[in-house]
Amino acid sequence: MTTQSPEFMALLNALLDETISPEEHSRLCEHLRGNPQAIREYLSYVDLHTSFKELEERSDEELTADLSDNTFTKRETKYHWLRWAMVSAVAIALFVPLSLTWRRPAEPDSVITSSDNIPKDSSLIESLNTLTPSPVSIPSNQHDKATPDQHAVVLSQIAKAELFYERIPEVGSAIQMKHEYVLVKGLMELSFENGASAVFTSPAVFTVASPTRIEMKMGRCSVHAPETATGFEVVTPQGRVVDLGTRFSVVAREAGESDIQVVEGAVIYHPKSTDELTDKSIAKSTEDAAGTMLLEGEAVRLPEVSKKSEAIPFNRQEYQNQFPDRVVSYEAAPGPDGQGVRDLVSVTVQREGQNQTYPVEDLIGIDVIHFSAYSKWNSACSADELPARVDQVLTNSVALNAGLTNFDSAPGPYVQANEFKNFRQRHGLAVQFRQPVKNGPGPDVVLFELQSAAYPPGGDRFHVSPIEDRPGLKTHHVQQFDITMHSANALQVAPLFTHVFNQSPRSLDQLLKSKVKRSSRIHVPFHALAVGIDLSDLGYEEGASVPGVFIEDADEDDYVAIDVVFIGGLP
Amino acid sequence: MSTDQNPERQYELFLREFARDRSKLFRYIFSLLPNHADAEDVFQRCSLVLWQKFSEFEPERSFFAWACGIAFNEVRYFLRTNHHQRLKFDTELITEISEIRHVQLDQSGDILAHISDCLTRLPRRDRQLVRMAYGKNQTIKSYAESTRSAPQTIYNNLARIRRLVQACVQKKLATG
Repeated sequence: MTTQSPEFMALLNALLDETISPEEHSRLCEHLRGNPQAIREYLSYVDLHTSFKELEERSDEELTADLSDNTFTKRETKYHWLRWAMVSAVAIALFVPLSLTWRRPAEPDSVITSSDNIPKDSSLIESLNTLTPSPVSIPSNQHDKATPDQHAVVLSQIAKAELFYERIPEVGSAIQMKHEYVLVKGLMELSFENGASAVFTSPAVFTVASPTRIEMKMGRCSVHAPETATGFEVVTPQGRVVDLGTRFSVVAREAGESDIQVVEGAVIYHPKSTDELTDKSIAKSTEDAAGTMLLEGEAVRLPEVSKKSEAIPFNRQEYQNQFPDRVVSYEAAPGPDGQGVRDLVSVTVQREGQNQTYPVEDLIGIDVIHFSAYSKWNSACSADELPARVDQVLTNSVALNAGLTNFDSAPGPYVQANEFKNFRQRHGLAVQFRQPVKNGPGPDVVLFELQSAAYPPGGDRFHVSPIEDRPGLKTHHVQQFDITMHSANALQVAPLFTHVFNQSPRSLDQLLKSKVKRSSRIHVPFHALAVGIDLSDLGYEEGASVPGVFIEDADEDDYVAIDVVFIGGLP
Repeated sequence: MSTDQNPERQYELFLREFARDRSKLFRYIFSLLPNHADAEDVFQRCSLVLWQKFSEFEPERSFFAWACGIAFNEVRYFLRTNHHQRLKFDTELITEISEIRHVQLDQSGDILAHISDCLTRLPRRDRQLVRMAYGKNQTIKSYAESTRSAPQTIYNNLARIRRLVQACVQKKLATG
């Protein structure tokens, strides 16, 4: 770490760039004279300068000469050839090829004056931090856009995310700049115009201050900033991290310390000085302490009240590398009156880290083979009239406002089945796939349900079990949907009717034979939530063929029960 | 004094010594004459003088120390006789620098390997800039014109890169 003044460092650079003026040269000499520390700093820069040149020349040699990769061998070969010309009279000629062939420096465009060349009003460190993007890989129009812009930062992914006291914007839409987001649950990913992305892991409190800057008060942020995003910053109350084209995570802890882990590439971190920490506004601070480079595989902790940071063990797990496999989004066609959506068009699922969109016609259909509700009598909903065979609201329909609802379970603690094949003795919904669903990576089955603001926003919890008995099979508890009421991606469905039967059906046969006692149009807005079911969670091995699943309500509240409007297997 | 009188053998010995220390010798000269053209001129002349005087070199001594002594005199001679307008350090300052540099270079490890490794850790864009600035194919002025950048922006970026690589190298040296 340099201890020299910014002016001295600027003079060194001007000297090496051969843009130094006579006046600046005199000042540099003054700095160096009688100052061994300054001379060592100067020599360190000379080493950099000469090494850059030497490496560049070697690189050129490697590219142009069909010689061994071993540089020393190349030189030996060169000298070996020279020895045949060894006479003292031509010794000069012998040495000419040995010398380093420096390119003449570029002439400056204009006379570089002291004020042109040396940043006087800000430290060199500051100028380092203001990383001017080189136009090499960034189109100039991107520079023009690199100003605060409401559309510059987009919510690109969410997973079981919940914000405190506000709904999560629709995935793909711009997020609000300079707005403090409080992520209380799940994951959120933001994508920036410069190519950077940041994943926030709950609990987290953060603000997007600009298209190149995040301010974190608390929580974990995993940043991937490709080379187009060099200079991307994450600011915490304890310091600032400047990206150099890399992957890194920053954890701002409530206790008042920040951890930085560099997974790939390098960053520069700038701990805040004690004086700065007295100013609670992290955005206001203008003077950082000198930056330190942190390389891949390194980690550091910035404490709250000291400028001295400490190395900590590197932990790759701190970096959120990938979102969990899940239902990412779905598309649905508007209903006939334009009030909400009705028919499912496609569903996008992340499987093994890759998003795949499935048109609804490609999904594997189902047949209902069991239906039993413990106490509820309103067991179906539909867009309009019920079909003659009630279960067709689920089996022959892609409408998201039609399905089998309220199949509640008996009061008391959940008792897992001894034999899954006996699902008909239990309350719930059993479906058989029209062709077996193969257990692949990530979700294999998608399930949609209806929910309104009066019910749990994360969706109605449920158990899902096999409908067959094989060693290792088990029941899986789904606690939350992938697309929840917290997300604007949960689409409001078109108005619907619920149908109350003359009894609570205890079997499919009873459901099919039940008479509708009353049908009511529902005025409360409902939304379609979606979740992916990974058959591996039911104990199926990879590649196994699965004939069907059994769904049981898992909410303990009497008034809450799952309302299934669509189930499909992924092909 | 070198005792091997066979000219070819002498030359091989010289080449071996010179090849080992040539890079360090150039850095030594450049640190006293931090100008590409001047350092190159002196390095070439110095190389010739070293060969001419190699018969005086005592093999039990450090070749690098011996070469630095000759190079220092060559630099001083250059400062005395060369009167063009390029900015130079005075004799007093180069003596100060030489005393520190000589010891430093003699003790330094493979600084080039460290710098090379640190360079690879830079973003590609920065590596490209280094290649452009230190390569033969383009000048900073033409590069600035082709990228519609101000030359000072290029220089600022080079300063930033030097600072980063220096920090990286220091870290590597500190951790061994």
